Amino acid sequence: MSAAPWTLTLAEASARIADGVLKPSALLASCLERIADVDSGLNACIRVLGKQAMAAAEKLDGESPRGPLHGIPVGIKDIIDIAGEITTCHSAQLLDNVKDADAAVVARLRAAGAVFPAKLSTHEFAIGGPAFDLPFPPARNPWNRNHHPGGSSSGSGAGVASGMFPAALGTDTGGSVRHPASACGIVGLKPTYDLVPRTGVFPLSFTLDHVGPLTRTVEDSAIMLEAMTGNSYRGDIAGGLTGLRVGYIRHFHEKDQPAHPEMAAALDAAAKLLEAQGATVTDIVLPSLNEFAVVNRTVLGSEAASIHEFWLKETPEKYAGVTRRRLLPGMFMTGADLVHAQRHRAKLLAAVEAAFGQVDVLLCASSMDPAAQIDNEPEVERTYPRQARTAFNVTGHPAITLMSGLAANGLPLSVQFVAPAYREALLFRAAAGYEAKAGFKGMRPPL
Amino acid sequence: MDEKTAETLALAAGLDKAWANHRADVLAALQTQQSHRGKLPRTRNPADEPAPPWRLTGGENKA
Repeated sequence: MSAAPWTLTLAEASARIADGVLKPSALLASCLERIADVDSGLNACIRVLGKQAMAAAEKLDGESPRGPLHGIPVGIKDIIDIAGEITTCHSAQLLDNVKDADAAVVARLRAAGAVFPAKLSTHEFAIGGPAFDLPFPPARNPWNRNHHPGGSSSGSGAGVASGMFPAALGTDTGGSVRHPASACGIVGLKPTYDLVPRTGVFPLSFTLDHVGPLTRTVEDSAIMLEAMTGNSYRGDIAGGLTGLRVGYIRHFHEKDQPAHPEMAAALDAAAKLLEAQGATVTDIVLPSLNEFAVVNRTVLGSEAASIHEFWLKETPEKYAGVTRRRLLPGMFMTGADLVHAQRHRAKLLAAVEAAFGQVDVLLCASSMDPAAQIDNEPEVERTYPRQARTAFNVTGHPAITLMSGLAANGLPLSVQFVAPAYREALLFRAAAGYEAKAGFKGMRPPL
Repeated sequence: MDEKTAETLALAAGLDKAWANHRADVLAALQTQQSHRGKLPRTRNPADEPAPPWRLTGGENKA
């Protein structure tokens, strides 16, 4: 008996559709059934768009395959517009916000043959969460529903990890694609700044926002990015690790923000695996994570305040408490604060660019801890900023996170690779080389 | 920061409603911002110009 279609990776489903043994409508039906089976405990979906998606899938049944995304269900974070649908941003501020047009990235996926089965949970406006005082409940981690799935693209992470759809779109301003990917044991990509258009995506911070895919494998991530950009990224994806120069940023997780011992051990194991596969691993020193973090908070706070100023003044009660508390500091930042942050950002960017004069890719932590319990607010607040993702929103370099094991409590561990600007093909080669040998590819939560 | 100063700053920022109904959040935000400002490196070198990420060096795959 063959596996249920919802269990297939994007590449596997795509191959079956291309071979004519799986119809887009059958794949979608299986994914919708999976959503019906498991989402009541995960809250990944704000709205299931079954009827609209099935109409699109049935139309695709009768077409010759357009490419690898033909008939592939892709979940959409609910800050990204789909024509004719509401974009709530998971907020009471925007419950009636029906959009006329697809976001540019959604239009590209639709043209490539993707269908959209659901709008997905997010932290409110991609910043406030997890929160229990919003119109929709927060998403939960499919590995353990008592734990946080990461955020802000929390529904994207929970949905892909639990098999509701093989891929989803998220956004990443301080790590919001890579955090849920790390917490849920899947692959999350933040492409180079502005490689993927942001038109039709509700902004959080214009110079830090990135749109990226969440998938179950590195290959699937590359397929998604190809459709999102029109570029080719898979030519060298199976090139292996031999000869690759890897810079290991130990101080991020050993000194700047000492990681949970199991996370640290998984990082060291990854470095050893890379060496065993023929890569050269050397230590790289960058400015401290705290420098990146304070620049990110100042830029994000200032830009977000300019977006939310009206609502913060007129309808502050419509935000979740955590959203209000995260947005309000930006209202007290000065113009000089913002420019100082941008001036220091130049130095941080130069430091990372200099590192790429010595190595091909960087290896470092993503999260410093496995996911916290979702209702333990002090623990969520403690662990939330303990991460090394923000650095690459500040600099704009492409970064990818993937699973590096399971902690003793059964929650995923993770690693992060970073590449020079616009070198996503190299990033995929490094990540796929690690994924192929690490032994965690395709692991699914025991739902 | 004393509450009178906090109120002055909140009202100057136009946050009358938030100050009236979510005062603890406004006070926490002021404390957070003061902490961030204290940690932010502030160069005195006039030659240090800001550089946003769109100055990243381009590659052959740029869309």
